[in-house]
Amino acid sequence: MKLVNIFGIHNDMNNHNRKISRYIILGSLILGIILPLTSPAQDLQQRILDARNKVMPALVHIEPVRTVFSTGEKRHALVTGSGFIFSPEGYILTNHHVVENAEKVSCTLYNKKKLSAEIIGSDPSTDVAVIKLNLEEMGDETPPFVELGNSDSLEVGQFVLAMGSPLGLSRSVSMGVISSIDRYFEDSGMMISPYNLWIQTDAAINPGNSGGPLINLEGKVVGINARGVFMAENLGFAIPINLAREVAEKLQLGNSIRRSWIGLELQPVKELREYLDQPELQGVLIANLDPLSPGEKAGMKPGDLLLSINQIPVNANYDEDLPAIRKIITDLPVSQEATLEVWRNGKTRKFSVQPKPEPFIFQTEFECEDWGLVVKSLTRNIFEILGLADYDGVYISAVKNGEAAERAGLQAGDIIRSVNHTPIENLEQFKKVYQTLQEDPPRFAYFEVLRQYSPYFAAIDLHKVRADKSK
Amino acid sequence: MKSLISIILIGILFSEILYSAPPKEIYLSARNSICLVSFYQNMASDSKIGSFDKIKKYRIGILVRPEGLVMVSNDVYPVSLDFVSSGGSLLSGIPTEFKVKMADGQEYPAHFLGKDDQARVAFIKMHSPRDDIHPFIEFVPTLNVEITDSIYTLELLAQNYNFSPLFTGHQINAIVESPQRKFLVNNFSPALSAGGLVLNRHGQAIGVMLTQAFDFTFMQPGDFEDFQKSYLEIAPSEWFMDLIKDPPNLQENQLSQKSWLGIQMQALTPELKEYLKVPQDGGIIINQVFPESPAAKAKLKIGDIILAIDDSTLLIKEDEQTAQLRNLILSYPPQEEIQLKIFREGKILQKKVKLTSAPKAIGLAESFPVPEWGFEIRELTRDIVYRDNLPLNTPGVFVYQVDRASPAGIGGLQIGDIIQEIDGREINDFTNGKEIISAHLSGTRQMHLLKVLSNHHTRFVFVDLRK
Repeated sequence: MKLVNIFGIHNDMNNHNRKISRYIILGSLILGIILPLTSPAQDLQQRILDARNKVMPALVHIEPVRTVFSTGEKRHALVTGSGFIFSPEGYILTNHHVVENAEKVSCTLYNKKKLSAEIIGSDPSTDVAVIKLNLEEMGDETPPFVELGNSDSLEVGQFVLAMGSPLGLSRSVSMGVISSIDRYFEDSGMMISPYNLWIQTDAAINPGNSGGPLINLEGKVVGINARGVFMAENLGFAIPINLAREVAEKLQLGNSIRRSWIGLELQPVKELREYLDQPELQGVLIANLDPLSPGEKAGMKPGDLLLSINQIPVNANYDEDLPAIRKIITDLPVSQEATLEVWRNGKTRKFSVQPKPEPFIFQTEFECEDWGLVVKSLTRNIFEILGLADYDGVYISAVKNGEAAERAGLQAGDIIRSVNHTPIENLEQFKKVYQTLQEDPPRFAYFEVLRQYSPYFAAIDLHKVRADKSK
Repeated sequence: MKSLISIILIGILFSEILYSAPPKEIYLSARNSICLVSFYQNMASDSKIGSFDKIKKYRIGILVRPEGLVMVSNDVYPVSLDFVSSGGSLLSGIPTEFKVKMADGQEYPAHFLGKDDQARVAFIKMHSPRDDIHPFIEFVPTLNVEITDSIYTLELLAQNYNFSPLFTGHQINAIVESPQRKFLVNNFSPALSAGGLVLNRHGQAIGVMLTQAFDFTFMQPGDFEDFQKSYLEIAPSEWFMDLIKDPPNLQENQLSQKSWLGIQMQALTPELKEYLKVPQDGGIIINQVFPESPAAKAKLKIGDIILAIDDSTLLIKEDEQTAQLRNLILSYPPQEEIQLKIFREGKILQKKVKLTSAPKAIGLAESFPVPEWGFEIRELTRDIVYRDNLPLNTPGVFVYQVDRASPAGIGGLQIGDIIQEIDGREINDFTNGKEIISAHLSGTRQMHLLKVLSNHHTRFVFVDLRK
């Protein structure tokens, strides 16, 4: 309890108000005496310590047990990261990349208690994940939690602290300023963060405090530390908390985030404006339309200049303006037709587009153990790299050497399009097909896969697989 | 009398069989036909479109015809010339400023004639006085070469040994038959590079030394073991003997034509054989038919299984063996009509297919440098269309080279992009593309809008000439 008294806040809800008032009285007394004598530097030091004290108890050290498939072999890897409790129910915010493919997650709290946690949801597009502590393991205590701030009001140059828990019990704090509030990472096929800009800070962000909070001097969380740059100094990036909060709310409702999709790839308008010598031109250039997308079906074309979405004008001068527009699109309700106004050959046209849920869903990898095969659902990255023409199939992420799939000629990187002539649309359906074949195996599983634009055929002798397994 | 003659005859025959020339004699007689070839490899410069960075290189040359025809390794020009050859993909111009230095120190200029990536040789022609007759090597067939045969290699050492000749005695330790016949010598480390001469114990030329193609991708099981090998690989004379009679000539567009069927394939594994109820152990499953190829014209389909070609039954059960079919096709002259035995949906069909020569590769396509904008375009050749699975009538020109600091480079144009539109005008083909760009070059417009296609995605590139 001593620790609690030092940190003073949020730890014990019953005593909360009383403590606060006690602190206010104590604080005013101290301030009244000291303030006239303190220098600005001492004042800053005190504010840093205060901010730290507000957040430190809610810091969590996360140890996920991750399932990885190295050359198809299932292995467990122990990784570590940070997170922070943001609600009395024990919800924790962290990075998707910290808990990705984790089966079990164990968390060490400020009071050295080790608790298990379940993954509530994870969103690779924003690198935000929500996990929840199993509070029964904690007894009657209510966990300390942080207050989320407002990342929209951040200013470049403002002091921030990056906090984390790189090792079980240690807690780390590093300080810096907000270097930039609109860092954009170019969409290089990876679509690392298509819907947000990043907070850049010179406070050290390293693998250990990844997932930890970036806080302001009032002790409010303004971002989630996400990544540092290897071999570069003083470059850390955090996800703005306003976006993380929104994603977290959706994740708490369901397991994954399904965004709306009309299939537009966008480019800023700045150069088109110069090219056409029309400085007043506003909008965003449509560079490409995904095949079979609602936008393509509606008749939109590359080269169209998108002016507004449901009467909300859009304008992207620079790449940095694109995430906000992408977000307007992904937030469109799926059931409702949206009106997109475009400018084509000097005339404006309106298109009614019915958004669909995006064809890519994040799911953990699935292991077909008996076949020595690991598959996962298609991602936008896979779709773009392989130049696919539609969104059907599952992606082979690994084959295990010496097992049936490898002997049949299947390779990591293939897309399974059908099994025994049943077309495979997605991972869920593939799992069912696998299950059926497991329960009542016919002699063969016959695959049609796609490999570098060409079909490839493979057959696995299921009776032989079964005979080998029972040996 | 008769018996005396037969004894003499037998004696001659015996001495012929047993006779081994003294190594010194072999060395001296072959030495004069081995020459040092120096040249500049022209690597496309990415700082100035249409110009090259020159790299001086040396190779071992073998004089193969008295009028000064010299055979060297095909790696002097590492660019694929057609769809079936993998000559490399380095951006490289034709090698230039060849010089041939003879054993007697006499040096002659020379020029590049052509190459053949299957035979792995290239030819250069010396510019020597017309009446000069050069000592040349005649290759003999190698059908009777056997493991344990004594052989000699004649190479040149590297520059720090003044390119002195290196003569070594070896034994043939292995003969590999598939996918192509090769002789191997164990525990070998090469001197200057590939292209050294291989002689039998009679002093007859039976092959040339190959470079080891190092592949660090380790895609196939066993690749790592292969990587550790230290064998000398010898290409038997049969690989290139016909080429010496009729060498490829790039300038006159007389390239060695490679026969082409136009499919991609996989092996018929025992499981597939059983599942698909194929009446033969092994075969080739077609998994791609390139449009307008001989296979497409003969109406072959994806999923067809080739059981035999003419009299050769294909007993191919593993994907690693599919090179057999490729080599079989390459062994036919182009334009040959072949008979395929096909298994399709439970029935056996006979299909006649007229082979053609393989489509030429982008490396040979006509080029149009546009240094003002900072890129070089080429005809969108079939090999690119097939590789990227594009429709045959895909309009556009291929971006072969981009200067990164140029207006196009700054605008984000990338090598491999296909330019389909410039300032709203569609580019149908290379001729049309040249016209449109030339018209723009003389125009006054300072900014251009390029619609490009790359990896099945379109995007727009703005080329601002003020930059």
